[in-house]
Amino acid sequence: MIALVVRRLAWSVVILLLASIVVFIFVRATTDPLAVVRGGISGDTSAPAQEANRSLIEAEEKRLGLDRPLVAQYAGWLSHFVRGDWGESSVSRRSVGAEIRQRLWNTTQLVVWAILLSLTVAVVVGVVCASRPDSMVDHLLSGLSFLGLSMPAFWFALLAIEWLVFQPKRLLGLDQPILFSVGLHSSTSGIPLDHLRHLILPVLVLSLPLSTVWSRYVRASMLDVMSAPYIRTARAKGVPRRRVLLRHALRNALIPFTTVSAVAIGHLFGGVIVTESIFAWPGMGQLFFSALLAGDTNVVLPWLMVAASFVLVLVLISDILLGVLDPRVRAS
Amino acid sequence: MTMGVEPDRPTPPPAEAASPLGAFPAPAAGAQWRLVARRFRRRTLAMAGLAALAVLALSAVFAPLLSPYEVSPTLNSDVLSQSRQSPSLRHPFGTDELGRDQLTRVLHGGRISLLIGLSVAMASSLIGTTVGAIAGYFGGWVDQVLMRLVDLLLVLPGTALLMIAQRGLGGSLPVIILILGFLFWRTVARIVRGVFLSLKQQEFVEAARASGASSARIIVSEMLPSAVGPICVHLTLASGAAILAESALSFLGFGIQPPAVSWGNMLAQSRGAVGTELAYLVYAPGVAILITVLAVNFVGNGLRDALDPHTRA
Repeated sequence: MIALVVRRLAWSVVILLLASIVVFIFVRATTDPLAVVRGGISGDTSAPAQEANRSLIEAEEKRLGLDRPLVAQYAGWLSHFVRGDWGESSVSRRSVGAEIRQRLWNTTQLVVWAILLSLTVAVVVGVVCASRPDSMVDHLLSGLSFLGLSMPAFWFALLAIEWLVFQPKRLLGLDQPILFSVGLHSSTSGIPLDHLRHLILPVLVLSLPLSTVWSRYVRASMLDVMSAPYIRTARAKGVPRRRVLLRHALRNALIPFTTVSAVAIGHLFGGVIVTESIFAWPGMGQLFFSALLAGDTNVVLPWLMVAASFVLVLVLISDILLGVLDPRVRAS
Repeated sequence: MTMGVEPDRPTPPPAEAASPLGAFPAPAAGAQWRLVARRFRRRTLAMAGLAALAVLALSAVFAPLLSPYEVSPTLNSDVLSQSRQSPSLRHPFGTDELGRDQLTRVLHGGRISLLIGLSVAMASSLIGTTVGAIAGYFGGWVDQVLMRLVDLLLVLPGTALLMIAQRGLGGSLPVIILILGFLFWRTVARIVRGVFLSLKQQEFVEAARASGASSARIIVSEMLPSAVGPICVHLTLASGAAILAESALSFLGFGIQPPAVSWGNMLAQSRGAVGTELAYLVYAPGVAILITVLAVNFVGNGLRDALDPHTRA
């Protein structure tokens, strides 16, 4: 088991290194690191002003090392990055490392709750559907999950804001909505309940695609397992139906599901960008959004690396879970 | 999954079940496809999805004939007098602050959404099939390199990459199609690779090689036909995912730019209407996306079940 974790960890580092190369080249090719400077220079078209602008840009290029070959730039950037020196935002002049640490915590809250909620929903829906295939309940829940996975999550968010925030407030004549749709908390006092009222909607929206797709997987995977001979044997031995479902079938059904969920986790950050921009949640997604709009390459590069590491950690966790569920993985 | 912009999103159940129909070379291809068509026709939901798609496609193509209003009328007092009207017989989906008829805009928005869905699906299938076929056929280090590339794409947040690319390259239609297609190819690459790996040792491939056929010929005319089924399934499901992705990108302001109309940027414009008396603006474009993607998913699932000899009915 430990060997497995170590191997996976080593592999993650390799992937991360490869990702850094791809990301570096990609960002350099598509964005102009001097966009902020270029945007700030005077629009004077006279010859001396032009000359001054050119020398300013050349000086900036020299200062940031942009005149060196790409490989040297990459090596320089990587060595700083690995040592934890992530530079400062070219817009706010704040330390990128500190900024990301603070944002990451806010995003982690959303992501962890969303994953837990989606897992619970997926397992319950999947097991209920698979235990009575083609029943009314199955059709109803399957129908709902199809609806969920066919609608844009941001649209679901808009509907949720209209129907769970504004309409109840209007109908009940409240001063404050029951659930909030903006930000982390409304007062600095930080009462847990207040935080919860802010957390619920973004977590719901982030969970919508996860829980619906996962429910389909768990259902399909359960149905597969249920037709296996050992399930029939267990039933024939007189093991109660509920026990067979939960102990024999579910445990095995979750094995293929673990790999699938790792794939889904890889996409979480996309959802985070959309969700945080709708709910003004000061996390990683919003940071990326504003950095990109401002052309702040210094933030975009480390952001991509942190996002990739975050995903790798989650995938690692799901790999370890797979090892716990499946003895064959531990052995190999 | 996630939130729209993500490639593999609406690909429910057996994801990695490598080759549903792949295992046999299908000597009488015509007969097999007739069988698949028959199985597909028996699926009510899939047929309903197909019908809905046909209606949507026709109404998008004939949008200018179906509606008496202009998509983006030049502003004048006449148009503005029609602004902020809630749904009525004259304007079934209402009008926005600029007096634009929402039904007209939804019909026209469908053109871009459907076009993007279809072309992204085709572009990604083309890239994915090529990569998957090469990886599966040659195996060894070629396979390793290509599949690690796929792993890499899995780790990097696709939405973020799309947004960066859009900033750099601009928001024109071909660019959006290209960058979405470039992100969606890996699912089909995996599937095609699986089919090719399972076929490699088959006698008919050996026979073709022994009779002196070139690699390219074996790939295209001997092995590829077996992968056509899974590729078709990907083609349908990916077009749904692409429509969702475009809508999310446009919603964030990184997709199709106004004055061009897409369902995504209609929703972006209606964002401020939530919680006001203009809230009706939020419904029509969203429902249009929902119906389209739902129909596409039904067709894709029906197709997959019809191609899989193991499913019932």
